[in-house]
Amino acid sequence: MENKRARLLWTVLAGGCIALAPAWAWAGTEIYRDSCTLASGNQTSSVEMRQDQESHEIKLLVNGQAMPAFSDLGSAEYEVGEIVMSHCSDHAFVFVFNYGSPYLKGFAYRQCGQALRRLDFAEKLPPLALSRCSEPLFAVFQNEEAGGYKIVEAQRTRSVARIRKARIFLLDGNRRKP
Amino acid sequence: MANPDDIHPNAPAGGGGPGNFQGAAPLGMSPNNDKWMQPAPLGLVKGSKNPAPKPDELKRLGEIRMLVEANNQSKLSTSMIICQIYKESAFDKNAGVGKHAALGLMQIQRPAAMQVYKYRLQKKTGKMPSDKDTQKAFAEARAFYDAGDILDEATNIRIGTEYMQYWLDSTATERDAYVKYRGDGGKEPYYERISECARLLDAAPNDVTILRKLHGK
Repeated sequence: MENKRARLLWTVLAGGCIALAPAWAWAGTEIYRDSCTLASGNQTSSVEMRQDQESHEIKLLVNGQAMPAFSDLGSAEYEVGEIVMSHCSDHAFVFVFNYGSPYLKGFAYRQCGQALRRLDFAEKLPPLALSRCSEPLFAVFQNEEAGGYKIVEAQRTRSVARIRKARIFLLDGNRRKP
Repeated sequence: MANPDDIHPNAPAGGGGPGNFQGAAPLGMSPNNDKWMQPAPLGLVKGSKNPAPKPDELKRLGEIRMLVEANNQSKLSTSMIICQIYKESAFDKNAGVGKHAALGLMQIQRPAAMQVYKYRLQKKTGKMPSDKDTQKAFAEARAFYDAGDILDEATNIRIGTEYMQYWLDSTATERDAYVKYRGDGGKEPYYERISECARLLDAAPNDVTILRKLHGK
């Protein structure tokens, strides 16, 4: 009987620890926090961002899973960096960070049905638009060198003179600049 | 995968440098504005893809070379820095003004100046600066950057090359330093293009056409 009670107690304790682990990971003082709920049909996803005052690192919590916002940046880059853009709309969360390079680092999360996909980019300007769910995931940037636009996909970047509006949604309508 | 909706632009002959493009055009500018997102044209002249170098381009290359030789604060070669400057700004000292936050020949951002000021302090004292000293260095960097001095050519190259040296000292190889600098995890062969340009420029120091290839011309 006592064994059963002890086992139950341990189960409850272990479950509690697992549930609270992400919150513990972010127990420090924050200098920035943001969150976005993405919805598509019956599916929703949550993206949360926090910047720790001590380490300056920006962490992401995507559907409960914690990760660094940019795995290739160190605390020295987070410390000097500036948040350029944080956009949240029904289907997309877009975040752009200036860490000192001429190229702004950013990512976009897009929820289409059950699929939550991430696209990383590094361009001199923040994106203007993101592809709609009927399209493969890409971000549209102004092409300041050649005119027209740059289309950035996961594996390649290409230039176009113009793009059909029906393929994209603009990101300036709900842009939040922290 | 080409999409019939997208039309590839003609490669502009005179561009790379500052055009009259001041951001994405309002959506009402296109004749088909209900269907297309289309910016205002750059107004660049179409021409052959690889025209002969003009005397002023050679003169400008000579000026940039002298500036780099006098102000390079990194272990990168003069030719590497020249190629990087051309890639970033096409030798335009005002590149980026009115377009985005990266400014001047080496396209310096304010956080880069802050990184350089802190790193200078670290190298001077031989240890990581205290929070108080770091904040002081950051304040000085912000004041310097916001005063507009970053557009001075010599200053821009000094800060830009100090920033590159920061990356060189933070990574194992020259290529790694450029991958961190470019920030795309190596997706664009930035280092490969710059180093190939530098190799060719070492062999033919006055061949401007080598630089133009960095902009796909």
